[in-house]
Amino acid sequence: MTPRDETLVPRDDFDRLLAAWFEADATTRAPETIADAALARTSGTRQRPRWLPFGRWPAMQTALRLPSLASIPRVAWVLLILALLVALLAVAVAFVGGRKVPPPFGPAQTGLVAFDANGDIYVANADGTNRHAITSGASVDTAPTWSLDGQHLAWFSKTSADARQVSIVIADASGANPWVVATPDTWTFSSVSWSPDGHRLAYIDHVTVTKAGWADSGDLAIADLTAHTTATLTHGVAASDPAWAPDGRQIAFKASNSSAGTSQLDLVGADGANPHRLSTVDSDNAGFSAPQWSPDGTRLLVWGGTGTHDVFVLDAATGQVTNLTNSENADDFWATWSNDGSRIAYETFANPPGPIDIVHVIAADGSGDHVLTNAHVTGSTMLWSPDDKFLIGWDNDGTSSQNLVLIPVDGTTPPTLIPAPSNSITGSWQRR
Amino acid sequence: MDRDLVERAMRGDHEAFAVLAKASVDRLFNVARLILRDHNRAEDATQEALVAAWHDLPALRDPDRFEAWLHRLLVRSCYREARRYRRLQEMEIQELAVEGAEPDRSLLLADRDVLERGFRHLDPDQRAVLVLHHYVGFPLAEIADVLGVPLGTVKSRLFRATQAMRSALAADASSTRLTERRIG
Repeated sequence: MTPRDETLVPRDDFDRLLAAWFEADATTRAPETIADAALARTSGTRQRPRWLPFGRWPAMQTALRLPSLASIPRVAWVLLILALLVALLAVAVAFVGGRKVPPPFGPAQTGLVAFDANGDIYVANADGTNRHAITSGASVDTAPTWSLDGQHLAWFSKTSADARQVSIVIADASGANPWVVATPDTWTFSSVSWSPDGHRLAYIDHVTVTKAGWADSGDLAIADLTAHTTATLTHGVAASDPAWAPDGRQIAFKASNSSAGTSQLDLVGADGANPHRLSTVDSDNAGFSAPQWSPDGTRLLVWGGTGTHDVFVLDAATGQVTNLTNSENADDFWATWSNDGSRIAYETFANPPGPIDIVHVIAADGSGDHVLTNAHVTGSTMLWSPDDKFLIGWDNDGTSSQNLVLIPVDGTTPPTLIPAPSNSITGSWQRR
Repeated sequence: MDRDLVERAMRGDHEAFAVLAKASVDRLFNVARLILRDHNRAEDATQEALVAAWHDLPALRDPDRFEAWLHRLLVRSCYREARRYRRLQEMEIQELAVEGAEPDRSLLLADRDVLERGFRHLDPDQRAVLVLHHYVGFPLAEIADVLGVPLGTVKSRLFRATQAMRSALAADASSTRLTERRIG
């Protein structure tokens, strides 16, 4: 091999080479005319008015006059009292009967889909109807995650002046009764994992700061929603993407080695005991997914790799790794486990890569690979609906807003689009 | 970035905006140059991004996100420039002049040459992800925020861009070997 060949062969320090090239090419001072011209064009021009959410409309005087109570006829009073009695009766029946909640794992009825868009949290029916925001105001709300019983939502909310200070908020399914359970040093694109009993939340705190002032991994922490306490479980392992085990005893998470650009899969007890490395599935950092537990808690699903990416299942007890897709020439991404544990969906790039990816469904042992020809998603995480009849993905061509796409798994009908009012980033299904 | 300056600019203080613009223009211009590979188009894209920033500043929800927001405007401006000149761009082969800069001696000329050619094979989306990640230093989740796309999309774009660069480099290596064999 000649010296020139060595510079051209893909190598481990490719990223460093690229960064050095950018640095060498980007040391030019901008011509002064740019800022001067921009300032000349904007001087004396008006800015666009700030959009005001409903709660912050300026006070205004209304011309509407309410009728006096004395003018309301007696029949109307009687009807009103009857309506109130009926409503009270309905509420009493609901409470006495007890609301049935689904088990934390396994199939369940499909409820609302929650997603974030334009800094607010939205919910919609599974068919896309009745889409409405459950948060508003100046805070930036992202990453909604339903509790496993479908009773509560958790999300990240950023209102603080500190760029990395966000709150984790929990509220009822309607968005009512929000309260802050933790204010970690993290950021709004992090993720939380509910404990199976819904009493605790795992999240990432104490993020490492990069030269740009941001980072995506830190210490694994939990918030006890009953005792109103928080605790840090790991230190110095660059944790991210926590996933609480179905038995509630362990938490799996991605551990990154940023200097090496690699990631591994670690486990730690929910009480912080016995932290250990489950697997060193060899993968570059960017291409290693969040872990996902099988519903029976015996296995973990990840995708990753250093060249082409594959889908892997790991034995949670032994760490034994099984490559389910093992495709040399295709990249397999965004694997997700069905709620009954029998199937796995994943994506591959089209050849040549285009805006729309190919969606596959396989059996949990990797057999029976088939393509959902109707699917229409772009490089995004997919989630199974609780009844395992739909996959939800995101459709984005890189230039327009991405919307949610509901993909029937049986492939008999076309996907349904849930238009997002602005770019939607993450979402979650409600179990019922 | 000074939060007070951002808040003043958001309230319509043009002098505060001028300070912000002058503090940001070098970085923005270099990002635009790296994405567009063209000095003049980078000037246009940077200027348009700054003008858009002034007009839309009141809509910025979080003053602490000013820098990321400004990069979002810049990347969009680069996309527009790239679309406007796409046909011309496909026909042109330009070398990016490095003005007033001492080249990094650790970078071999051969590396720079093949990286340049490989990078030109990428579309603006992929270029933006590479530049924001490897030059600006944003982590992937921050890039998702800047570009307004899901984190997964950023990961796939970064992966695709890296693969495309490597493919281009490998193709370049093959053609070089073939040429050398023919000459030899």
